Amino acid sequence: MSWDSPDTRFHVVINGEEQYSIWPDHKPLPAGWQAVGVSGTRDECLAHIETVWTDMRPLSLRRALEAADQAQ
Amino acid sequence: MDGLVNEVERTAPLSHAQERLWLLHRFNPADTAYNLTRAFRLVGPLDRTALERALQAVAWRHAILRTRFAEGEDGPVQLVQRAPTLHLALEDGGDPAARAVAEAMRPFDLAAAPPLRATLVRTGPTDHTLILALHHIVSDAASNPILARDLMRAYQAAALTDEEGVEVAGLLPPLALQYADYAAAQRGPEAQRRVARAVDGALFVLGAPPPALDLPTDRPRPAAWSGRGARHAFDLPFHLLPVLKAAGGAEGCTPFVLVLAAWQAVLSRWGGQRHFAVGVPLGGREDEELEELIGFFIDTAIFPAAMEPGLTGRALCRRLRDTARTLIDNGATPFDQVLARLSPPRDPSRAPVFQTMVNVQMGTSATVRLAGLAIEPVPVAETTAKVDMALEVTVTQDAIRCAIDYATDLFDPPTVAALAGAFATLLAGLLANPDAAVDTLPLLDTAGRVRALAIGNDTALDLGPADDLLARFEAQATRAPERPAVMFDGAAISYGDLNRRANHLARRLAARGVGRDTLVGVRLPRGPALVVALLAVLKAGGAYLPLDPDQPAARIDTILAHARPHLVLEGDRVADGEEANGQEDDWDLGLPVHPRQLAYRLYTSGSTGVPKGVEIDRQAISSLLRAMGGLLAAGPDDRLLAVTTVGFDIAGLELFLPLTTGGAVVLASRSQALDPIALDGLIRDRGVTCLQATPATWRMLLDATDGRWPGLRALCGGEALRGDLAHRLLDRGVRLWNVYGPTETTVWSAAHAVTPVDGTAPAVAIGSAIANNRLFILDSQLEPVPPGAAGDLWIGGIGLARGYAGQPGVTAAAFAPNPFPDGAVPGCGAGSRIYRTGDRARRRPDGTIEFLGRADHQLKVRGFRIETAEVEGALEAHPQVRQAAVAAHMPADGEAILCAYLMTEGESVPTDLRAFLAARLPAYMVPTVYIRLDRLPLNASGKLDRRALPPPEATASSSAADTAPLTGVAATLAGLWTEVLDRPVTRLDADFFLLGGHSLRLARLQTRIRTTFGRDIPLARLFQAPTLGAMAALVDALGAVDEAEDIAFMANLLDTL
Repeated sequence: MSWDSPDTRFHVVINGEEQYSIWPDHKPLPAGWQAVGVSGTRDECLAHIETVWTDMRPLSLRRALEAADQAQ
Repeated sequence: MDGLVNEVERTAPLSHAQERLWLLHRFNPADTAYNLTRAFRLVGPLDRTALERALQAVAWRHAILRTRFAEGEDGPVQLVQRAPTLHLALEDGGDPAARAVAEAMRPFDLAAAPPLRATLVRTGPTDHTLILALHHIVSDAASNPILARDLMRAYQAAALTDEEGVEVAGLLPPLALQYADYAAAQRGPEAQRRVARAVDGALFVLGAPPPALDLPTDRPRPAAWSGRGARHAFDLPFHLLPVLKAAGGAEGCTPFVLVLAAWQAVLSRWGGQRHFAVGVPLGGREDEELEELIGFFIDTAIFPAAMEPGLTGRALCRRLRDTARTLIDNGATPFDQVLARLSPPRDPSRAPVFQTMVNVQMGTSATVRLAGLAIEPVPVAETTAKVDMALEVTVTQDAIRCAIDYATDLFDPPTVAALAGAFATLLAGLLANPDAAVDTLPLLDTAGRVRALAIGNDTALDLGPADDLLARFEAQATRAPERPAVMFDGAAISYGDLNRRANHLARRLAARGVGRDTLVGVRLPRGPALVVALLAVLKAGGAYLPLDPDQPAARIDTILAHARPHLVLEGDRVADGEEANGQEDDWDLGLPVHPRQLAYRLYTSGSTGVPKGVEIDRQAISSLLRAMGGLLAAGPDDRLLAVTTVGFDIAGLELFLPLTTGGAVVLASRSQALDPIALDGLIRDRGVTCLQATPATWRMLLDATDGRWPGLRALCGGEALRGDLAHRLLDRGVRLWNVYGPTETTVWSAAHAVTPVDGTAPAVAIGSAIANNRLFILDSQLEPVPPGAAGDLWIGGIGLARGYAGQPGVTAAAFAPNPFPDGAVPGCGAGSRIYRTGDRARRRPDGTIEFLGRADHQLKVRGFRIETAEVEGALEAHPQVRQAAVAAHMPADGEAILCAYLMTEGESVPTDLRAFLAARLPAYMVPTVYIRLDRLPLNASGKLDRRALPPPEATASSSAADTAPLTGVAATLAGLWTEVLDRPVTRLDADFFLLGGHSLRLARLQTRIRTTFGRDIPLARLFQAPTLGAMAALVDALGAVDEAEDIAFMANLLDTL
């Protein structure tokens, strides 16, 4: 069940900056990451990420830009 | 006793096993790897005469100890002498252990005398050490108890009788069968048939010839095997002993099978190699009669390792158990005959077929016992190795003693110790959890794992708003506005001017809607306007998209189509737009900066055939500049020569490092950057103190110049730095750093200060992480590998890119959650990511990291990274190319060249292919050599076998016969081409670029033309004359002009007289 094995199943995971990644389902999730509730093969997970991660800017930057916009 | 008296009583052929040792000995008579040397301390009253007589009695009984080996007409023969020649050499005093080692290192002459020696070192009246040295060709491990028993009996008999009373020969009963009988029997027709069947069986078990085991070594493998070795001894934990015996029993697996399984597994994991072979000595005394004989009865069985992903320990052990049964059932299988049938390609640098061995012995080895003496074995230090690394395990009643014999040419003691630890940890894991996949078994214990993660990764450097790169530049402009910031083409621009111009342009950009995270294309030639533009984009809050105007328009269009920048700065508009609306326009804009706002986006070659846009944020580049500034101690007195195109991310360092530390950028123009003489001139005339370049550019500089650059701080990166280049650079007096990092982690992530010691290694270490970076070498489970083992290099830290623009899936695959968060290092805390570089690496015993190569098909040519798929896609877009493969080859000069392999519609490479590619790909991605193949080589699974692609030298045209021999300038020039291209050039129509030439090589050729012909021909002119004939004509013509001018001058002179 290695990172590259086609049989490995992954979770779609997200961090506090709302950046997405994948993580093998048999390993404990690293601190600071949460599973979004989607799992599957690597390709299935990446395909899901392709549809949901539409704004790749880190959350902290997005918030700062929105705050600046509102201030104007 | 001389040879006449001691006549030969019998001749016999050699046994198969002996024949192999004889050949090895003949190949290298000085090799002592097959000396068997044992030493025993004898305390008590020793009867020396009795001991000598007893030794001779043993040799009387065992004719093999009276046998020497000569070359007969039909091959080697053993000559059994009538009487023993063995004498006990007596020495008074000395260090017995050292004497034993000396004996072990003394070669035997197999032809001159029976290969055995006995030495008695006397260290006191009742304290002696007996050293017995035998060549393996007359003995083996199973001979030891026989020899010990016979020696004990004979000593007892000799001590009881006086010298004249009993003939020495009568001290022991004679044997019915001798080794020579066994050897002769092997040559009988029935035995030959049986052996042939056994060899077939061994080859069947082996399957395909195994690849050589390629463990990462601490030192380069010498061209020829020296046999120098050492031993690392260790014990396995006592509690494993009952487990080892019990676990084996349940499955019908012996401890041997478990040990072999763990050894195969640890070696496979250590080097990341799934297929190789292990040699295992098997005792070959098949008949009861042979069990009484001293002699060499060992067959070496070959156990293939096939470590498929997911293979469990249990499955591996069962497989090895079955293999062992098959091989033992096959009966004696002479290794030399297996070897002959395999006929592996000759490689004098390593042992054939297998480069590792395992030997497991049950019970303690026999020790000599003599009446009236207390005897203990004296360990003899191992100084030889038969293979790269061999494991010897002795399972006794109360311990599992292990030893690894290793080649000291290849491995250092810490590496072997780490591997021994990994073996012990893996074996314990396998016994505890036999149904786990072998790939998941731990190689490190808890403390080792913590150490492996921490080493070199304590890199925290706090960053605040003042560390932002623009803040630092603006501070320098305020502090010393009159100091030079950019030097270009003989002129200098001050910090004040540069800042003013950048502020003006930034205001215009802001007015056009550029703000935070806005992408602005910069398509400008090298010059001050380029620096102004990059600063202005950042000042407006935007991110720059560098577009090298020298790239093909089609490539730039592809990037623009993907990137869709808000606007593009190009042409003269930037340089013209310096007019200020008023003095307030001079001032810094003072916009707020978010650490995660984008600084630049840079396109690199993509594996899907489409370039990838790497997005780097402000804190990443700012942290890099702080880290590298600290490393180089960069300051206001520094002048950094910038030579790299802005299309390569390392250019960011060249421009911004001096501008944030108060120094000056000496900006080389495009033509200067390609011209080593011009660069050398800039270094000297402009007082350059720092220069960053790729290995290819450094080579070009070194080849064309010969002066020293004392004190110059030199950064070399973008490609692996070879030891010879490091050596040459250090010889010029520079301070050298090898720097490493992918674009995705912001320019550089690791650096290594190079010392002269590095110059002796084939590849220089990449060192350790720079500030706010952490490097992890991980296995396929994302677990750290032990120091010394190979693994995948992952990088974490503040330098990580935001990702690939518009490619969230590709980004998520390449940037994984960081399983080892550490809040103390910026960018490395909980929720941070790690980037998989695709590079293989290992940690050296000194803690620095060594780059081992790529895990995929990405290539590096002249510092640029190239995905083969992108070039192959462009090749296959040509209507006459059916299929293409691209590979890099490394000629002797150390500069990789890109080779295209083609299946085409026609019989030849399309003549317009180069031009076709040049219009679509950047120059560094256009292959230099084109080879047409009828078929692309495929491996067993039907995939392209890149390793089977022929090197360009092998396919070089040798049809020189149909052309006239070269004469005059062309012949001399062909010699220069041959030197530069490292391949023969014999035809006038030879094309420099089709033969592997590229611009750096052309620059080298230009230098040689200058020294050989005394003609300084501009690079551009040489570019336009790519064939040998055309270039010869060019050289000739310039010569003719000179002559014509000389004649005209003479004519004028004559006229005036």
